[in-house]
Amino acid sequence: MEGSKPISKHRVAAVKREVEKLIATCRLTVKRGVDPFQVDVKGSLATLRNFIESASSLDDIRLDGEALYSLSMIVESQDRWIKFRSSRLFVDPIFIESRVKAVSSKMLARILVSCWTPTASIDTLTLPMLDLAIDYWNKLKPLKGRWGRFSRGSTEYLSFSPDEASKLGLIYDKGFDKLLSDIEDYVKHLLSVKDRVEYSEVIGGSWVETVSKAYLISFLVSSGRLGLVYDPSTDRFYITSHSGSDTPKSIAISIGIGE
Amino acid sequence: MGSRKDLEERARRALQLLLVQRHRKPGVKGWELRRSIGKNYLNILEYLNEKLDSYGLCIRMVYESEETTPDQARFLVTVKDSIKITEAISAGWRIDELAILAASIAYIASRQGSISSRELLRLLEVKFPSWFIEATLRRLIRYGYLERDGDIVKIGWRSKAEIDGGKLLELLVKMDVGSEG
Repeated sequence: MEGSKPISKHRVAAVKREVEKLIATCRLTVKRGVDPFQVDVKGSLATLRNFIESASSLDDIRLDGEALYSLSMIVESQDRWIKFRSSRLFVDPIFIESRVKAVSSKMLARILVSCWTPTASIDTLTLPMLDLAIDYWNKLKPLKGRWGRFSRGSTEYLSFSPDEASKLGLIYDKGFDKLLSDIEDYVKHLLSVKDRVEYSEVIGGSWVETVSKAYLISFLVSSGRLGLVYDPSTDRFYITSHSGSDTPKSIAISIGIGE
Repeated sequence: MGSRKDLEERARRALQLLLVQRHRKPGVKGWELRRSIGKNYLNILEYLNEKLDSYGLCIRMVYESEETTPDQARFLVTVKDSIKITEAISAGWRIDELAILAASIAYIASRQGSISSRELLRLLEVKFPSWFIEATLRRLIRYGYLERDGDIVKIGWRSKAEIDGGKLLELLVKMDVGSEG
């Protein structure tokens, strides 16, 4: 018995693959409008019978149902196919193809216009629209007035020494790598006590500190040195020791002033 | 519905809605007509259609996809009789573009309304360069004459409204290729 089990599993997997292929073929046949009689409905039903006998999970039964539905679509398509072929409108596509190739472009255009009744529509300005446009024009401030919101003084160039820029918080006075390592060590220290640390707890501080820490954390999370998860039950973000997802995602976390 | 004057007024409003293009697509949806001229808009359109007939125009109802009620359908005004090729050219169409449209519709119609874009390109490439075919097909799809659903190309809602597919096939089949010119 032990020897026969893997073979049986293999057979079931093969039949399952066949059923999946059948569903795909049926869908493609209906979508592309190709000859539905190319699908062997009787043979496919026999395959489905084998499959349902070996079905072991709810998923298999669902797949069987989907395959049956696809086959019913094929039968419906066969019905339409016969009706279309027996209708007055039916012309063999190969014949049409040969005709299109044989006839000149000018003649094709002539044939089209002789059975073409184009749409009549007015695509022009109306008086109310013209009224609106005049009103808009009259209220519109000159370009100079709209773009001159900034005083000339604000465009003057200023120069800072590195010390002054550091005091203003425009540049980091320590090396960026050092700052990253410091905050990483701090978070890892917190994570040694518990599995996850609340994001707002880590970035907390004055406004400048909060923004700086959030900036550094985003680097650590993006590089995979730390992880960030969202817990919908608490509606909060938590920092973890590693990223749980292989797919990178971009998220925005708002930080209010004074938080 | 009320007086004749009221009927005339509603018909006039309906004609404005039908003719003035407000979106990219021409015409107006049934529900928009219902909202503007009332629930018996179909009767008013019938009355308007009779009036338009004397000017060589008619109102057409076309279903853009799977809709089944007039409320969901699109209504448009089309010319009643076919036009001349010179009129089509003066309306901004090129002979080659019209030929591509004719070939596409005839071929798609003979294949029950949908084919893969590869097959269509294979047919059209016999006569036109592929860059021109692609640009023209994009234009025809944008105007609603053809429809693209992934790899599949179908006859668009506008072709259903404006082009008599049966007549197109018939003319193509009956045409005497030898006598062309």
